Amino acid sequence: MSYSYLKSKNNTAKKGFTLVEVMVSVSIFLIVAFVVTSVFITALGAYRKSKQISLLVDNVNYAMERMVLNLREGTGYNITNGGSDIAFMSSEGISMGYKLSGSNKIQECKNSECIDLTEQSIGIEKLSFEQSESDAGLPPVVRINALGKITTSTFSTSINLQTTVAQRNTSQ
Amino acid sequence: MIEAFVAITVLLIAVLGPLTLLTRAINDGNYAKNQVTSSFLLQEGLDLVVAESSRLSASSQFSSLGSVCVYVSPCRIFLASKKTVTIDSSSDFSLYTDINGVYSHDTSGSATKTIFTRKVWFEDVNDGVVGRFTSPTIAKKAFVETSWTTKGLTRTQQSSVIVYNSYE
Repeated sequence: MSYSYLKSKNNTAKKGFTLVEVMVSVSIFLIVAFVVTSVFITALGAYRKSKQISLLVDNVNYAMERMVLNLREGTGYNITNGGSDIAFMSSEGISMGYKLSGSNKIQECKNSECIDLTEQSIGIEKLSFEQSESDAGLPPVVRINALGKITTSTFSTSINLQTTVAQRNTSQ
Repeated sequence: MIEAFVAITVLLIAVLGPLTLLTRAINDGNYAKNQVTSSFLLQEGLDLVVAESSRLSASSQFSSLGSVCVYVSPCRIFLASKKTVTIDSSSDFSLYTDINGVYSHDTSGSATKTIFTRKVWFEDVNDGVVGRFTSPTIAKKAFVETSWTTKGLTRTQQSSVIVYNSYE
């Protein structure tokens, strides 16, 4: 009876993990945790980067599209401020304009009331308008060039868009 | 052993799957950026065609619009010196940027070659009267094509516009 009990007790004592097994398992766990954390951080950075690119493209694209549509149907282009501002008459007869604000945003102005077309986080580094000379025999042609940039602590990207608009409105 | 392999495989898929998707998202973002840039350059080409056709039409020279520019031998189109729309033959369709970031075909000075190219060609649009030996060109169809190359892959965008000889 007592021998049997002792044998059973000895067997129970042998169950469990040895120090080496525990160390190996903890090491594997640490390695896996390190890899997963690294991948997670990388993935987070990639997600942020992709979001910033998307935001930049959407903003500058939207502003350019608006300028193109309104300028194409507008008349009486007047470029001022070293080529960064343009004023014109819209197809509805409203006095309109586009300009680069002091806080590096593209602004659309209607009857002197201006709104931002680009977000706070987007920096428009350059907005320029250039018109063909009136004696060239061409209808009024305006070249628009905009350089947008977005910068974070770890990432920076820019987009340089350019197009040219030929005036379609022949009422003037 | 099998359990260990299964566990490692599941872990790898769980970790690498999202990472691959996000890498793809960045590539797609850059692709969208180039595509938007290209589409505006394409639009520029079309508007220059419209402007030049208007000028030529007013001076009864409509038929000379891009007369040497055909599909097999396309041309470049650009606004030269803020005065004239130039449509010329060339073997270099690359677009360059000057120090102000303005795109053109001008290679002088500190021009930087971009990844974008632009070409234009024309097709006559006749009045369609059957039996007429030489139909007068009442309009021209202009094709503008922009393309860009990144990581060995070339992408292309093409659009067209029909311009009419409005003074004939």
